[in-house]
Amino acid sequence: MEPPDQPDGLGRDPVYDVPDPHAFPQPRPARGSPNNVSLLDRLLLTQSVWLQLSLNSATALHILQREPPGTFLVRQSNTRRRRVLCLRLLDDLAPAFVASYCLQERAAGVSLEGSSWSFPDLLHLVASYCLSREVLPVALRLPQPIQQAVSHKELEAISHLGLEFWSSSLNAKDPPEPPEPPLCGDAAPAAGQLGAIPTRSPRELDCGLGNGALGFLNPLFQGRDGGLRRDDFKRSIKVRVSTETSSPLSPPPKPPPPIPSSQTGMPSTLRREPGQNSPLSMSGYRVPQRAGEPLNPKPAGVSLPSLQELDSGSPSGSESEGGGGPRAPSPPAQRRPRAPLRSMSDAVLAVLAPEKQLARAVEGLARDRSTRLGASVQDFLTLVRGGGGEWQSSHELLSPVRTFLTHTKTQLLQSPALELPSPTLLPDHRLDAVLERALHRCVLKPLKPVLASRLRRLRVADGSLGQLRENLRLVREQGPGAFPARATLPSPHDTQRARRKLLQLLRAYSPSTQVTLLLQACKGVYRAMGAAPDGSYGADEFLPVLSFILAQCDLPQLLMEAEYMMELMEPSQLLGEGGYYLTTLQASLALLGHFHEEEPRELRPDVQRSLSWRHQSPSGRPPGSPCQDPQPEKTQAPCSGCHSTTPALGAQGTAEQLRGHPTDNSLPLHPEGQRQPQEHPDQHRHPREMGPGLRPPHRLLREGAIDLDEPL
Amino acid sequence: MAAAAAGSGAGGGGRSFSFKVVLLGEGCVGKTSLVLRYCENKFNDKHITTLQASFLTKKLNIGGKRVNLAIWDTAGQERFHALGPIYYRDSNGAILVYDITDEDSFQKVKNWVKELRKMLGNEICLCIVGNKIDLEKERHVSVQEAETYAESVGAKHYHTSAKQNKGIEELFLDLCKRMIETAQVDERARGNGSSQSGTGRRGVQIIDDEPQAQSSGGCCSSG
Repeated sequence: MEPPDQPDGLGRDPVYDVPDPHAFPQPRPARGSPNNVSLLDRLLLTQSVWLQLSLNSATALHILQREPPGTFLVRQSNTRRRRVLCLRLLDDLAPAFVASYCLQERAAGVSLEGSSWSFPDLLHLVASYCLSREVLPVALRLPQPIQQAVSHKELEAISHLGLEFWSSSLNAKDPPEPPEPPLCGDAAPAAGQLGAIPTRSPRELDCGLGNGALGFLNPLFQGRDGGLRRDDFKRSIKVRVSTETSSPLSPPPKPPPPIPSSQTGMPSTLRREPGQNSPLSMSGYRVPQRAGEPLNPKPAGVSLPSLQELDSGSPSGSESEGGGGPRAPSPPAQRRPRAPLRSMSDAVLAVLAPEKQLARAVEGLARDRSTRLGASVQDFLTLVRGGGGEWQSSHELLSPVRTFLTHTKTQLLQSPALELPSPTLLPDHRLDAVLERALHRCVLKPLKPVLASRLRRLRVADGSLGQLRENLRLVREQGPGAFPARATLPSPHDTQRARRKLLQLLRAYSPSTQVTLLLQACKGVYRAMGAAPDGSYGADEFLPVLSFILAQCDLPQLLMEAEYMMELMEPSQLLGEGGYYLTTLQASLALLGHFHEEEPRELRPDVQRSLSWRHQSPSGRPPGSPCQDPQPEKTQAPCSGCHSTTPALGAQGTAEQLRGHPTDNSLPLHPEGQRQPQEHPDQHRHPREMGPGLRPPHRLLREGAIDLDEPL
Repeated sequence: MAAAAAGSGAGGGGRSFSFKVVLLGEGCVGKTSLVLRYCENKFNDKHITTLQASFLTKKLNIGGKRVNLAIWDTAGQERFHALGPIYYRDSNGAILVYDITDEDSFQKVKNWVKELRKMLGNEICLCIVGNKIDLEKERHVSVQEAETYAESVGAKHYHTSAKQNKGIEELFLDLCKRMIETAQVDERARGNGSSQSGTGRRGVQIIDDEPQAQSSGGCCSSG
């Protein structure tokens, strides 16, 4: 493991999606402490969580009920026709446990109704009342995970959850399912595991908030007094603005207009509590900005055309659309058409607008039971939700959903009755992709929670989830030796970055989005591996490194998620790069899931012999590669380039496993029953890899896979 | 089996095939270099990152038939062997690479052949490839033995040198032709006349507007 504080070389640029890592070598702010992120930034970045304009009062009450005093939401009151601050009160302030305060929004600023204190915008109002107890019965407080987040990235991850944050395990006070570790104790990485979490600059905030995030950001706000680091804040807003229309996949057609930077002429309306520390001066975060640097993160689309082909758009954007958060209408020009434009550049809009229209039309129809599509979709949702527990495998569980998606899409494509808005403007494959995505939103979004919990039940029942979790721990304990790799092992920083992508992947419901996130994570892994000696890394190098990273990330839920993606992805995509890396993810999880079977619990003398022998013969590994530390205190064979054996789990266990879960893997390997396992001694191990005393390794038998040791 | 010709979407041209080819072989036999050489990855900015050579694509036009190759690399180390089926399912072709200077790597190929034949039957086109013929002097696998073996299992045998760029084009071209043939036979057997047809564009060398899924990343053209 590399030391956590390893300075970032140019090859380790924190900017994830910039193809040229040398483009932005930038100083990084000190990291690791929550103080690196200002309160304003915290608020700004997590608006999608606390600013819930579309929330009704009942839901707000429901959410706040479970939260500690001081927790707040801002929502739009339809009866009062203005925004309302809903505040969780102390329990002894009965009868009500939530108080609502209307917000007065005038040209002069925002204030609480009845209060003379005015603020330039909502953000400052909230920030102020977070620090002051004078006006409100309790000071506002952000949820713990937001308070404790130490980096913008973390906050961004939180913001992706939007409304779901409140019910997410991230915000869980007591985890609903004790055996499952909180999805992300990632607010603070497990000590000693991941090391410090680096902050990242706003330019990295590729797809953070919902589209409406800036709706109320007053670009003219002033905050010079009170020590507000106005410049810092403003810059971060700028970046937000610039990323607003961009996505990792599709660059904005043109840079957004800059926020006026004039600081004069606008008297500040922000007042502070006397005696308080300056409420808004917590900003220790500077946005490095150098002359000539473009504000926009360089769009990753440049290097991710295959992602474009997955028609993913911005993962967060596409997923968050229609979510609970407030959204300003986003410009339609967010996606770049894949096909080369045949006409001038202003044709971009003409081509893109129909996609959005089409998606909206389909979603509208799908919600409307009086239409054929709506009836069919709604019936299907009901059917799936009400389904009993008869599925034995993820394939059984999910393939009907995929079938329904495909079937419905075909019908839509053939339906003349459906008045698609100018579908002819779209090339066929775009049309297909747009419909696919729209259906994800109509079908998968509502179903994901129930499907996820069923998948989980399957994997809990067969023990694979628990085993994987345990093995991830095992691998972490073993360190780099668990997966000897020729490539550089990623630093904790790289790992953390990959983890964030994977966390986003876990949250997403659309397999297209998920695949994009997976590819982004993989790309980060490659980048972390550094330059390959011969140009590029193949699977020989990638798979061990990915497995190592997955262990560090500690997200056993990926097991179910990979199945979800594999089953629900548009089948033709399985052949592409997304399919490949999804397969690799599954392979890696399978490897990890059976890791314990490779590890002898005790070193037998013959294994010891083989160990020393192995060290003399690195089989392709250069000396000094990270596996030379077998961690003598552990009685395991830590760094074999090979299997060691598990005497305890022999062929018998293997067969049992197979019989137990005949169709499990959800990878319809060979539907026609070619899965009969056979046991037999492994005959063909490479002597370089197998110690003389080692027995045939117990092979991976991911359910549904075959025992490959057999002579065929 | 991935219906080869089915692909997805409608290409603009004549017949279009999408094939998945899996690359198997021990760690050090040079399979990555081989395919890298073929796909010229270094000039390919179409993949998630040029740092990767695990998944490569290539587009060919063979006698008016458009072929999109997706080449899936696998990890060759012994401990990853059991992951094979996850990768090779639905493959149309497999390239099994050994190092002519390394007898063991040839044994390993034999194991893969058995396994693939067993799991995928005859629908998968197998290529056995003796790589590193630039090291002819150190050869440990005899040509005779290798070719006889290949024939006995219905595979084709090739000799290549990734280093010297020898035999690689032939290998892939030949494989593609065989996969097309297999796909067509398969199609006819299913009485499924043509899964994709379109207008004209035959003889076009480079295909640039592909159905989305198949074109993932491929940019290399060749004839």
